[in-house]
Amino acid sequence: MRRVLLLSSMFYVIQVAAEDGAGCRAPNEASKAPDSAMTNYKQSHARAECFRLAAAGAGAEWLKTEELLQQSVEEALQGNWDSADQLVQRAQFQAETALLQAQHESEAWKHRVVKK
Amino acid sequence: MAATIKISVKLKGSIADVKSLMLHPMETGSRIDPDTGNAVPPHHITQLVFTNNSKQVMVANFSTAVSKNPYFGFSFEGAKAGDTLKVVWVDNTGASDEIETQLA
Amino acid sequence: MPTASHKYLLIVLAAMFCSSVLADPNADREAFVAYFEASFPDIPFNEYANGIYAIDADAREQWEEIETFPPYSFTLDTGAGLWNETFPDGKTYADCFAGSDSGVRQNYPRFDTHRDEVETLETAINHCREKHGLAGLKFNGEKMLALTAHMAFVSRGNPISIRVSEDEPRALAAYEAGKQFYYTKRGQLNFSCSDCHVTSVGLRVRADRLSAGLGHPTHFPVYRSKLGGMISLHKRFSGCVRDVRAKPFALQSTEFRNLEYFLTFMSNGLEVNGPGARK
Repeated sequence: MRRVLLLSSMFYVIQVAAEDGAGCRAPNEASKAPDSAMTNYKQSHARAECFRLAAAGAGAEWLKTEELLQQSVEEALQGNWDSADQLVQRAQFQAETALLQAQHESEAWKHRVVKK
Repeated sequence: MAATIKISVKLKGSIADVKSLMLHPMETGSRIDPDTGNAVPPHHITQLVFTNNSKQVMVANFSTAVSKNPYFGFSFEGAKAGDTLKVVWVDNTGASDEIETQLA
Repeated sequence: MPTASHKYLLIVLAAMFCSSVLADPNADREAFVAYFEASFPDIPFNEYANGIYAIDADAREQWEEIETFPPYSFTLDTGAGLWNETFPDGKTYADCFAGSDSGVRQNYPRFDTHRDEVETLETAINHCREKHGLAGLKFNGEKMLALTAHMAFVSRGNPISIRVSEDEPRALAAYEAGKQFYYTKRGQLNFSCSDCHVTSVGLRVRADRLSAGLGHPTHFPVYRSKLGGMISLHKRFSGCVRDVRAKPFALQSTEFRNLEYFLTFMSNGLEVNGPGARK
């Protein structure tokens, strides 16, 4: 677990994650480096992690998002690019959906309040 | 004085309604300790004996099916005020505890 | 040109201002109670303190049998002993809690205007310990559970009396934040607390029936047969958040303290009847 966490921190470039996840999609570095599976993975990971942090900032993070990201790192380290990519996409989907949920709920909750 | 048994008895005529609560981990021996990864050794009550005025009124043979901090209730006939009810438990490590109460 | 985060900040400030102007906790509470009384006309108000046992007759019968010799008895003995602990400077808990263990439980949580946050019984106990030179207790540890169980037990029968002062906008804001939390859907399963404990009371979730939100905090901490031990209210909150597959907040986090503040206020008037016994 600890090894994964240490390695995981090598992967994400710290971005300012705005509340609504804006900026998570923008490329965070002009990539002139040779295209490699690891470089692509790192960008995917950074993007998904950016969304996860935004969801966490909104108090809406789902239960398994972080675990999915950690599993994807494990897969990437072993060179299993397809499954690493699947896992990181699932993690990003969870985080983005959690953000949508939080945005929707910021108004929707009022309609559930019990009134006389 | 027992630290691990609480007992309460209600007398209705000659019938005594006994309730007891015991403090005991009741480990089956199958549970894995999350820290060590090893099975927690068995540690459970094997027998519970109630005597009224030294005469056995209930013997319960517990095994691994009884869960932590067992609650045990039963009733018996032939009780009267002033009787001494005693309960003893013994576990698989040979430890035991007991408590006595007067029927009122 | 305001950025997204600036806009967000403005909305939060506006919401806080609006909520302090328009918030009416007592009206909220009356509506909450009226909803349950209309849904379950045969259940008297004070029965809501018994949670699911007010609704599920079979569960109630088993519970009444258990309560003749409650599983939390040993915890209460420990708690009574812990209350009498003397601190390094010679003081005791009584010095923090107006001289007595009884008569305290029903007033928590409260809004602490000095710390500018909600203070629960657990954080109050730790503030007391820190004031007198001791480290705080772990929030879901044996000692904290035993002490809060004892303090609940000696206040049994006292009506819950939480204050949300309309003169204190920050207290109102904390109350409103707790209320928002209660009604907000969260997690992969997209449930709010109210989806189960307001809308679906009496219906089944797997083998269990859902209890009403009204009365929830009165009987904590609770002995859970499943654990063979006690559980605190925030640990239960954490479990519920996990059950809807959202990441739980920390015990005694701002979110959970605000939630407890709202939820306990909703139960004003119901009698303290902790510690409880549940599956």
